[in-house]
Amino acid sequence: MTPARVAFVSHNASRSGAPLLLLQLQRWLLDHSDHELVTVLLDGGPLEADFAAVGPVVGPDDLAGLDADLVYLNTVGAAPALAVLPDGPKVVCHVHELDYALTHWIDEADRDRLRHRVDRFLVVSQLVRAALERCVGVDPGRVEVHYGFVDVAAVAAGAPAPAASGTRVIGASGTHVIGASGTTEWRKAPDLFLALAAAVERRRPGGEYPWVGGADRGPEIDGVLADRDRLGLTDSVRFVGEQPDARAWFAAFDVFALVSRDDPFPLTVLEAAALGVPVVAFDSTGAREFLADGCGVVVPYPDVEAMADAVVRLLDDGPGRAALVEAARRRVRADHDLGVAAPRLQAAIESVLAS
Amino acid sequence: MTAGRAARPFLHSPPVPQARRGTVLFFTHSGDRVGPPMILLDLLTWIAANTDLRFEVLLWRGGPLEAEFGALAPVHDVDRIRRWPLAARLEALGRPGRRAAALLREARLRLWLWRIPRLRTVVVVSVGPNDYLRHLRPRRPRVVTMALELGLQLVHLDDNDGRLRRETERFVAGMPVIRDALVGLGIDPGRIALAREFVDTRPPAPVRVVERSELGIPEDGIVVGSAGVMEWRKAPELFVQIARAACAAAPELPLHFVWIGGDDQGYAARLADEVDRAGLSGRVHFPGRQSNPWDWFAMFDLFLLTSREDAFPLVCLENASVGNPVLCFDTGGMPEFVGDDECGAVVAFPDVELMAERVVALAADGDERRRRGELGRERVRERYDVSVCAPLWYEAMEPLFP
Repeated sequence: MTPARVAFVSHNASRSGAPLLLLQLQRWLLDHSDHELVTVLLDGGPLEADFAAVGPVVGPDDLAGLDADLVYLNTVGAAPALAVLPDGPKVVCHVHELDYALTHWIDEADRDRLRHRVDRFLVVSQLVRAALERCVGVDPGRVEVHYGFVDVAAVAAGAPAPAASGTRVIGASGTHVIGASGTTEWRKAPDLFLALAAAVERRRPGGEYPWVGGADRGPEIDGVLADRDRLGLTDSVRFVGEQPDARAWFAAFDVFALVSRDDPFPLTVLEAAALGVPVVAFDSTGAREFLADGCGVVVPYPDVEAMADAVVRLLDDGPGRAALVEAARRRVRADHDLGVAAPRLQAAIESVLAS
Repeated sequence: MTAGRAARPFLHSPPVPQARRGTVLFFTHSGDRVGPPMILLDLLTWIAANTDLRFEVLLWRGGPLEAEFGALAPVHDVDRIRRWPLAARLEALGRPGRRAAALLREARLRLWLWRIPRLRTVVVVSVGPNDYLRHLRPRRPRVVTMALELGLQLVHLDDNDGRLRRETERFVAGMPVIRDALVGLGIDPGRIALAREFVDTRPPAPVRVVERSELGIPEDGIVVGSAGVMEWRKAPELFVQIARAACAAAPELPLHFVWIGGDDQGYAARLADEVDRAGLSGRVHFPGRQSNPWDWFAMFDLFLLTSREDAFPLVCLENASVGNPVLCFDTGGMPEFVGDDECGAVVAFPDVELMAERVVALAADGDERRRRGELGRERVRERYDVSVCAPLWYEAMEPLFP
């Protein structure tokens, strides 16, 4: 393929799913193609230096004069860039959002530009494809599903027990650890995590329930903490905030609980699978597509009682748990490893360039 | 006041008559149709009719009740006092202008408040933000705080280096649980008097009849209502979860869930999304803020309070006044009214499944529902009517009045 100039527009450089996935893709392209890469950050964040290590980074003011063959919008959050983009380049949009974000994070003008200006949509799950059709009116024929991915070997290698890394000991002898991870915003439902912890404690007292990531104090989480104390779960449910060795925490979980009410295709679920941790999730998230066929447990949203039953079954049923963990591990290696998924994304980008 | 001074822009308020003994200033955060301002309005109506106390009213910002306060006494609206055209012009001049404007706004407020004649006592209605108190300090009024809130709201005791805690000579608690919470926060029990929260149990004349068909609810539908500002304390997300559990438990019942109330924090969009996700479109309704809540209460069959923190929501008493049984969690003061499920039901927070069971049981049994509603109606008239409770508040505060 003739080398092309590809501009990646990211809504910010936060340490969250979409920017992390973009970085992995850019690094892959750097090693496996001759394309010239530019990153446009609409807002900053802790990953700025990582983006700068891949290639030049520019800001929103440079969009109008952008000289690129293809513009890759990394989320619909980057859609406002379409308002100032010159007419020339082809446009691909990678969509990581469901109904709420597609309705409330962008406005009708953005949706209109997405419908008319984007040549191809790459979405992270079938659930997102349906939401894109429902909320933005995008013809499903212009949409390709490209599930999220992780570097499985790197994830599995990065998981010493937290005790060894000096973070703190979780899951001391005899206790069960039901963990969760993500920001602490409404979509990720820390409120339902409390309800789950209470429901599991009724069935199996004495557990630990760490939530890794998001806020550990402040207005976003204060209400949840007050509820936690009211429920008598002060010592067992802990919001530990961002952790540099999050994977080491995951590795110490007996069960990973994805309690999100709205989650297009969380990478944390892939990481848990790579680490051999079984996952339970609600059917309102894209995770259900990865967890299907015995790779995890999916329960109807927001039935926390059913989720608690599933958690206890996983704690008790050794062989069943092992089979599930193995199936998930096989699937993450086969379909969601960087080495498998990034070439597919590269092919999608190049087919748009060639069209 | 001289004519010359009256012409100056910061002295535009109406002239105030001289008081014989001195003035009591009642402060509340707004003229909105929510708990504390409504309690204050009822209390002041009673005071005006039954005593010769001279009082004025200070609102942090105006609202629909402002005119009703104005019919009783002079009303000062801090927001309007600060919204001064001169300051707005200064603000257009960049940063130094903004700083000067802020100083001028504060100075104007202070001057304005200085003109309240013979200020002797300030009654702070509900523990809340209290920055304005510093402007009154030079006049050394005695401070009474009507404590109507619980939980996170009480952090305001420690605002401004604990000004409210320090300057309040007497707290009057609206409920025993509030008194206990204040004691738990280190307030000497000797500084706390006890009264009782209340409503005017006579429903106002209907503005209009709210038809079920407006929301697509069939005539034989059973309406589980709730009301309140959509915010974390009121837990509207639990309302949706209870609706889901109840509809799942009793698919044969024509259950409908209606929450009236405003939304300042983006809850409505989230909850609409949540309702869709739970497959409850058409069964759960959020018609927003309503100016005639009593007409909506008349359309409800049950009242469901989902609050996690709510000292004694008057909206429950209002619903009891029209014969709706009240269902609530065991947080806050409402279980004291409901009793041992006599006037509704009390469920351990946040047991959504059990609350849904209680909703279904009362929805399915019309006789029992009406019986509990009737008991609630009697109880609220006997114990929580303004005619019974306003004298309790007045007596508790009177020793600090001029």
